[in-house]
Parts: sequence; structure tokens; C-alpha cells
Amino acid sequence: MFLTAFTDAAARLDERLPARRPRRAFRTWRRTRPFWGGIATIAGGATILSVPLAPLPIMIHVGTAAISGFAIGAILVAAGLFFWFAPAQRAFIAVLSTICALVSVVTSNLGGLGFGALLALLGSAMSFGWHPHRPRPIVVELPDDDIDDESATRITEALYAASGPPRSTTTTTAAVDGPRHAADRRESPGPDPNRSQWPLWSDWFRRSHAFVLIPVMLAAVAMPAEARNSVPAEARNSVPGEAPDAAAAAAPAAVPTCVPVPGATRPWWIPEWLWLICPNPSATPSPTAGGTIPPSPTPTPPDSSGPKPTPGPTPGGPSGPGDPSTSGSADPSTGGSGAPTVTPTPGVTPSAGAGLTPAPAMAAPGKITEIKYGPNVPTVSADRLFAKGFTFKGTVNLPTGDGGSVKALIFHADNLKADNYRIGTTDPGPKLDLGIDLDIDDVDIYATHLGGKITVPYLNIPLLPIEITADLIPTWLPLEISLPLFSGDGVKAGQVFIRAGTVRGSSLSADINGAGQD
Amino acid sequence: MPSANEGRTHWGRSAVLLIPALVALGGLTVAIAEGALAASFGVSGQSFKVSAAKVEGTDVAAYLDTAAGVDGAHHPVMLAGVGKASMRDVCTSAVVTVPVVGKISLKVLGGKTEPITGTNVVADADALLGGNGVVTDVEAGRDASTLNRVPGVTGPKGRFGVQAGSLSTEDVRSTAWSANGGTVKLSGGLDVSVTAGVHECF
Repeated sequence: MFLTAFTDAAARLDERLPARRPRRAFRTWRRTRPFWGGIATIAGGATILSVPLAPLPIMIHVGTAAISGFAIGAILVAAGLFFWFAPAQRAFIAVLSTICALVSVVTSNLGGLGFGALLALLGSAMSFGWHPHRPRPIVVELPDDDIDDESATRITEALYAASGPPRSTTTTTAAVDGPRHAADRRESPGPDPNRSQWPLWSDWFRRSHAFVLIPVMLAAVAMPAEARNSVPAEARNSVPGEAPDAAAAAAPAAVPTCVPVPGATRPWWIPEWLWLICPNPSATPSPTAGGTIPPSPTPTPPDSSGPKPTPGPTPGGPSGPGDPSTSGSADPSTGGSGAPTVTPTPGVTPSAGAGLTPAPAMAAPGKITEIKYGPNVPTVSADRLFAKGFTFKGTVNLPTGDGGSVKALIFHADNLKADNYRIGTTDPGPKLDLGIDLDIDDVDIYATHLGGKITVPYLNIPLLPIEITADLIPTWLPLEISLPLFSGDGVKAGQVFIRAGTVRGSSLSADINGAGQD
Repeated sequence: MPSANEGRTHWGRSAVLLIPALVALGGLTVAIAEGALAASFGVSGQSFKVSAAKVEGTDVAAYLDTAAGVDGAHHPVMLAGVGKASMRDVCTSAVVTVPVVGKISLKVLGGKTEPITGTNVVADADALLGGNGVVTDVEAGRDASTLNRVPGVTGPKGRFGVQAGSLSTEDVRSTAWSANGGTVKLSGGLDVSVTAGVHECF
């Protein structure tokens, strides 16, 4: 038939191809273990690994999720190698890798976009189903299964019948069964006389094991899914504002715990009593899922603005409006004698701050020097700028991330519209080039310099081009120049920092260029 | 002469493990596709395109960085993290060159009827286009090392950084090098297609 033609062709090919001995050796090695199952499992693990292999920093950003995805791919590859080099343990490894393949669907890009998980499932099942041709009890099966007394005696009887008292199970029967096996193959493809009832019994025994495995596996698959939701919920406790949501995410995830197959009917091979057990355990996991919820609300309410708002008497510090009053009000608490001893902190800001009238729109002036800014000031430009409620408030020294400082002009606008606003960063390495039409409410701008042609609003009469630079204006100079309307053409600035309440943008286009460094 | 240890895969036995596993796989797939189960995603090393009709997020932070591609080159990118994101009408496409076969396009469509939501989503983008958008509580120009909106998204000292309290944008198109979602819920169906040739989102 076709198959025999195939084997004939294979035999002929075998005669002609070189290196017969190594090929034979490899073939023997290959046939004495679940080779193809191992290949499929390794391929599945490699597929799962190859899809998400993110740079390590990003994996750390994401945390447990990415790492567990990586780990599962690695486990599957290891399982495939175990099928090859420790075939005796294939049954356990196969169950383990099956569970891992299922978990990978949740943790790792749907299990390598489906392919990886399917390959690993197939490979695991192939390895699970693999066993040596004939002398089942003898070769490898004994150590890896619980065999009760009854079947053990049967095995012993079978061994006695076949070869007399066994000295060492494996070697003896391998020697005895080898030739017989070959003979069987040629002569009697039918039922083997040597194969008495016990292998069937053993088959049943094994399958009953498998029936126990099924619920265990289903539970194992459902539980990591739940654990994934509850564990990050705890991990994310440190994230303000997120915890309630994480807790909410954990709650619905408890639903599929024992009903992993929505709408599925009971397959014939699952006993009814086993199928019915399922709803009961589902009641128990939900309290545990609920147990993770209480810790969630513990984080402090979201602290959205600023790194460390230090409320209390201290904030005035640099550039705080009305320094005399703050220092005066803070002192009485420490005692009357303290008042004269408090000297204004030596530095530039107090005097400048004294000149500033309290500007309510400006977000917490005390905080502005607590943040660190990028040392390489981006250049910005706008074809046309139109501002309402525009105020120039002097200059301030802003600390930079590298320990230095940048002197910047302070502007505020109640509303600012910028046509074709462009920002280009000047950091070494990657550079951002972004263009957008902006409409911003309640904005503070800190710029090293500002230049352009000031125009009279609505009339479009260009005036002299002006250029203001922060370096020319001392920080102590009290300034408060307000313009109800301001508009400029061809505006250019060095923008250290922008803080805005609401930014509406349209026609955004951003590119990141520049030589990647490292 | 075959030795006694030789064996083969007995498919009946395999089915004992394979069938329940496939059933469980189907259950997981359904649960993920219906958004009942949050899955985790991460791709990188390969340039891919993402478009979405609407993107909304709370707690956004971004800084300039370099991303490593499979080709070993370092690509300048903006690494952006979103604490909580939701996207509608999402299309993701990647073109992979497979030896012998040629170019193959993988396209994933989702979020049609209900938005896809995710937490702690981190992406490396090197180009971004957007329509109308609103961003609130913006701080542009913070040193990347002092970003504090999204945990973990903190860059090296001396780099340009931006962060915002919330974000809402329409018609986003981006080319990205990597994307990782801590947890992503796929609701409203998922359509995965693998086709020969180049078929991208935009």
C-alpha cells in the first residue's frame, strides 16, 4: 500500500545516504523517547518567548506580567528538553507543560499569538501519549506511576512468565523482549499473547488517573488567571488611585474560576459527579478574591500634583508670595522669641517673591522650584500666538535634573492659542520633534528667552520685533506686567517648562529622531 | 534491529490530555475575547503600527529613550506609560519577513463595540499623529528622572520628560517598537488575521 511504498522508499534512501551509523544511532535515540513531542513543545516555548521578548527595562516597568510570560516560555523549552533527556518523567512533565501552555494564553500575548500555546499543547499531549512499543511494564513505566499491589503482582507474574525471576527489571526484559518483539512485528500484528490482561488493566488505571487530572488541570488553569488579577491588585496598592479599579478587576475574574468553559456541555469522558463538583469550589475562591480587596483602599488618596507637596508653614521658601507674612505667621507657634531670629533664607528668591503680587491662577508657586527640570532647554516656535490675560512675572532660577539650574522668565496666560506650535528637544541622543495647534487654558510658561513680532490684536499691524532674555532680568526685580490681550507672529522661545490646566490640541504630529546612543 | 525501548505516540492516550486541554484553551479564549479575563501583552524588537479611533488615559508620563530592535540597532523613541488606558477601534499591524515565504502581515482588530482597556500600558513610539485631543494637568519639561505619574516610568537624568493627569485623543496613529500591557482586557471582539503580503493599518 501507500505506507509500504513509503517505507520501501525510506529503506532505499537509507541505503544510499551517507553516514549510516550516526544516522542509525540518532534514529535509535529518537525512537526511544518522545522526540517529536519534545520538538513541538520546544518550538511552542520558543514561539512564546520570541513574541514578547522586551528589553529588560520595559519588562521591569510592567513587572510581574512580562516576567511571568518570559518564565512560561522558558519552562516550556525546559519541558521539551526533559522529554528528550529524561523521557521517564514524561507524564508529569507533560501535564506541567500543558498547564503552562494554557497559562501562557493569559500571560503572554495569547500564548505567542496562539501558535505557541497550540504547539506546546500538541507536543505535551504527544509526549504524554508516547510509550514504548511492547514491554510496557518493564521499561520505564514502573517508577513513575503509583501501581497498587494487585497490578504489581500481575507485573511480577508476567515477568516470571516471560523470563524467569527478574534480576533487574529493565535490563532483563529488554534483553528478553528485544528479539521477541522483532518476531512479533513480522508475524503477528494482532493481539500479543504476551500481553495478558494486565496491560489493559493498566490502561484503565492510567486513564482513571487522567480523569482525576482533568479537574485538577481545569482548576490549575483557572487559578493562575485569578491569581494574576489578585496579585497585581496587591502589588499595585502603592499606586494611588488605581487600587479600586484593580479590586474591581479581581472581582469579575473570580467568575471564570470554575467555569472556564462558558456554555460548554459536559463531555462524555467526564463523569457527571465530577462535572457537578465544579460549581461548589467556585464558591470558595471568591472569598479569597474578596480578601484581596480590603487592602486595596489603603493607599492614600491620589496626590496628583507635584512630587512632594509640603504643606504647612514651610512652603513659602523660595519665591513664596508675601514672605514677610509667612515667616511672621510661622514663628508664633515656636514662641515669641523666635520671631527676630528667623532671617529670610539667603538666596535670590525672597526679594523677587516680595514683589510678586499673589497670583491665584499660578499653581502653587512654592512648588515650582521643588521639581527638577530637563537641563537641555527645548526650542519652541509658533507661527502665531494669541494670549488672553497675559502676565509677565519676572524670572526665577529653576533646578535641573543634573544638579544645575536654569534661569527662566515666568509667563502666565488665562488662555493661549498657538498655531503650528513646534517643540524640538535638544537632549543628546533621541530628539522629539512635535507640531500641534494648541489651545490652552490656565498656563504657566517658563522660558529662557522669548522673541517675536508683537502685533496689535485684530489689526495685524506688526510692531518692532522684541526679544526678552531671562539672563538680563535679575530674579529679585519685582515685575508684574499684565496685558489683557497679546499676540505675536513668528514667536520663538526656549521653553524650560510648561504647566497647564487644560490643553486642547489638534493636528498633532510627532517624530522621534536622532542617533540612538548607548 | 529496533530495541525494546523504542516507542511511539499513542494518540488515544494523547487525547486524554489533549482534549481537556483544548477545551480549557477554548474556554480561556472565550473569556479573554469577552473581556472577562485580563490578558497580558508585550511585543518588541519589531516596528509595528497602531491606530485607534479614540484613546483615553489617566496618568500619562513620557520621556525620550532608545529602543533596541531585533536588528540590534537602537531606535530613538518616546517611551510613554499610561496608568489606565482605554482605546476604541484599535488596529495593530506588523509585517514580518519570513525566509522563503516572504512578507507576512499580522493584523489585530479590536475594541469595535466596547473599548479595550488596560492598566500600566507602556509603549515605545517613534512617530505619532493625532486628531483633536484634550490633555489636562500637563507638565512639559520635567526632568525624566523626576516623573511620578506612572509608577516605573522614570527616565534617566537630564532627559526631556512630560506628564499629564489625563488624556483623550481621537484618530491616533503611531509607529511603535514595543508595547507592554500590564493587564489588557479585550472586549467587543477580537479579529486576528495573518495574510501574505503587506497589509497594514495605515
